[in-house]
Amino acid sequence: MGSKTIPDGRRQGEEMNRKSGIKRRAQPEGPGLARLKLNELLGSNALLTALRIIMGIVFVAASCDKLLFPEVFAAKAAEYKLIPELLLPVTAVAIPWVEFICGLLLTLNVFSRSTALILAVTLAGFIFGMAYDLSSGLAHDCGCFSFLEESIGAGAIIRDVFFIALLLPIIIYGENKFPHLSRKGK
Amino acid sequence: MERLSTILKTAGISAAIASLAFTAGMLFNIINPHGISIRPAPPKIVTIVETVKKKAGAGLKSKAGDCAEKPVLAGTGERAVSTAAIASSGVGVTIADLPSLIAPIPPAEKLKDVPRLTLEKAREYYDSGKYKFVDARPQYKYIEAHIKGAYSLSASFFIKQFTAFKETVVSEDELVVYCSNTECKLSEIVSGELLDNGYKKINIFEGGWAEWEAKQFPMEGVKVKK
Repeated sequence: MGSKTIPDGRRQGEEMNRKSGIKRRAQPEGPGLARLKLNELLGSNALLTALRIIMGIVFVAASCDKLLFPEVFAAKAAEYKLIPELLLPVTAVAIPWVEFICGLLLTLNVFSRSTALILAVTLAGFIFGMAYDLSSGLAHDCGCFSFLEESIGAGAIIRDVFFIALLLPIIIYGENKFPHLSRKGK
Repeated sequence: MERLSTILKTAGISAAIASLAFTAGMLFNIINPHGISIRPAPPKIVTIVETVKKKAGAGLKSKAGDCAEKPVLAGTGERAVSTAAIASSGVGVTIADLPSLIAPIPPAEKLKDVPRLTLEKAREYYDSGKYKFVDARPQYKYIEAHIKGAYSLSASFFIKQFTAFKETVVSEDELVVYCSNTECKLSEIVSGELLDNGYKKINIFEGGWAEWEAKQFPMEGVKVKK
């Protein structure tokens, strides 16, 4: 009765494998299986889409005020001692736009792997800047979200590390295509 | 090999997107009414390196590990003291009251002769037109909104801003220094520095920006609706 539940084709295949000495590939067990499941989970479309949309909106929201009022952001950026004074105006103008365009592209799933990489690098820069100023015993506005009025500190650093962690699955498993063109290609 | 090509492709696209964003930012800056000059400011001139003396002001509790003894640049408007110490000295101190690089809070006896103004008195002085208002909050706060006609002299970049300030405001001028609110210490810090630089006619408007804004008295700045 039990043998009837196995499809004929598969049973024949197994028979042939047994005769020719081919063994079935071993299924991963224990940590290997857990890693496989984690990879499947992190690479799942639903999770990647959710992460893309959440992080995209976060960065677009963070950039709007900065790109409209670059002089305010420049004054906040001036408090970061790591930014050379020569590069201050360019940084104040460019960073909000990097956040805005990458946030937008991430939400729309356009070159999401690259945009997530840029945002992760930007966040890493912020973390480094904050850590440097904190190590000098300084405190100032972090310039992260204008509506939060948030100081540099452990909270802001942990949040940025968390954001990088959310971007990592997109960097590793995300697509790096222009959706419209890739659909045409199919 | 395939992995390397994927990494290179990702890096290449990232560089292209970053360049696009950079260009968009530069172009938008031209048409943005609040755009800034992207011409870099003159480089910092470092004259001497000094160690800031650890002076605990009124209510200022220094902690072990404070940065007060770290060597810092002088002559660039940057003198350091731990802002954590200031935070510990006052309840309700917000980030706007904590500049990154500031001079020490002057001792209480140094400012004992400096008159403290109420909102009504500050308004009266403002209307008289004889007094010059000085905003001691961080510069970005000043850019966002400040008392109309006030000068920015933030505690965090005092010496840097003071160079331009002393060209327009002379030591005989009557000054009203303010910061965020009654909890804020920045007006005291800036007043102390002004006293050291020969300015004698100083008043401190204790209620500061919070009280002025609440009454919707004359103000200006990029975030003030006209």
